[in-house]
Amino acid sequence: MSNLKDITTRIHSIQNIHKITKAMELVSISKMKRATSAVLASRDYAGTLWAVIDDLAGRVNQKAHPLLFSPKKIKKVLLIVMTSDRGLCGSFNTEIFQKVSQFLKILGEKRKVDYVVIGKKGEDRAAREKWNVLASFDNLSVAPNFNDAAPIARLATDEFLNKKYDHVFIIYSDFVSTINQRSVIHELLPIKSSEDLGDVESNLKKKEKEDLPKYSYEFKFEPGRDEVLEFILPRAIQTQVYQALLESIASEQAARMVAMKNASDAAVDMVDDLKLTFNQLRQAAITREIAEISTGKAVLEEV
Amino acid sequence: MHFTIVTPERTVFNDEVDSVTLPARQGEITVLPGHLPLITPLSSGVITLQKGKEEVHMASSGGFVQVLPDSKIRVLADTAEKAEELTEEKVEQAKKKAEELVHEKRNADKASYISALGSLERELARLKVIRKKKNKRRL
Repeated sequence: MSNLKDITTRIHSIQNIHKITKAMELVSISKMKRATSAVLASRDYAGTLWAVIDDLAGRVNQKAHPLLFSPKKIKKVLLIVMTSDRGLCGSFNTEIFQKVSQFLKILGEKRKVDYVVIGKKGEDRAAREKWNVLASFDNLSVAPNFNDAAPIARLATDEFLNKKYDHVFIIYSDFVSTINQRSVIHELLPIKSSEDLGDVESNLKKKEKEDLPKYSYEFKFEPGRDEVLEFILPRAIQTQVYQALLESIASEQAARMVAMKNASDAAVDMVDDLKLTFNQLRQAAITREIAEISTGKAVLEEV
Repeated sequence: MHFTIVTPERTVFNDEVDSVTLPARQGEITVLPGHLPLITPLSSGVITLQKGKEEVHMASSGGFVQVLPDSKIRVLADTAEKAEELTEEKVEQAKKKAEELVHEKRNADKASYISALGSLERELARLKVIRKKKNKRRL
């Protein structure tokens, strides 16, 4: 081991890093809390919206609205990939990319896949892998509002309606708990009826079935069922994008929090280790000096 | 009657009321107890709740109303604010911005023109709500 001065410098630099990681950990906690409470707040809206759509879609034919219609052959797929703008968040982005490659294997090589990328990390990856990127969004706020989801939702809807893509999927990280995030794939378009709703809604659905009364009566639709459908369906898509955004942000912050907590703990361990070595070395130096002095004295006495 | 208004971001109002007046697309409607089950889109405008002698005004945009048979009314809106949550200055500024945007987008594509018009309508509805509250104070 090097000399005492080197060790003190190392201890200082590790302590500084510890301060930074600790601060990042605390910031992530507060951002995560904000994102999770936003997810919870949006569930009321989403729940009611899906109840209405179920009610409508159950009674109308798949052909009633182009957004409900799914072609039998899937040739072209649009994939919305949600990643983070910043790094230092553990395996958050890696897991998303793993999910993407898994999904590509399932799709096979014959189908054409285009991408909409959200987050700078995703853009970097897209450039490296030469993905065919239709659009990319970055610098989204940590606390997005409903309107922030609008451009993404509108892009997907327009492209789908223009028949450029047969299916639109969204890949994002689902916030299960602080220590558990799951990357999931969810079918955004065409809109499916309730039985096979994806992950954003699955938990919601269960809750909602208990909470909401079953509609055994007929609603009157003003001005007409199609017009109401026309009005509601785009909002349903935007809500899904919005919720996915919030889930992704909550997961990112949770992942960062855990990563930073590990880093802080590791820093504390390293400082402890170094302090022990430092003290051992210091003790050794003192012992050596005493030995030298006493040998010197012994030599003098003999003379 | 139980009235709730939710946006994707929060629940704005959730309480018992006597009557609700809503800016439906086909014209203003007032919902009283025992109304038919109904679903209809709303335009940007003012929602007025009446409870006893008290009146509450709210600005909403891009929503629809669902009237359930047991006299429950639910509004799902893109945005909604109560009068006390809005400040005239800020809304006035936002309105000006929206007006400029509409002017700017007049020759642009249809979609962005419509969305600019939409935000102008939203700000106008907010202004209306603020004015209503002010007038009440003067009386």
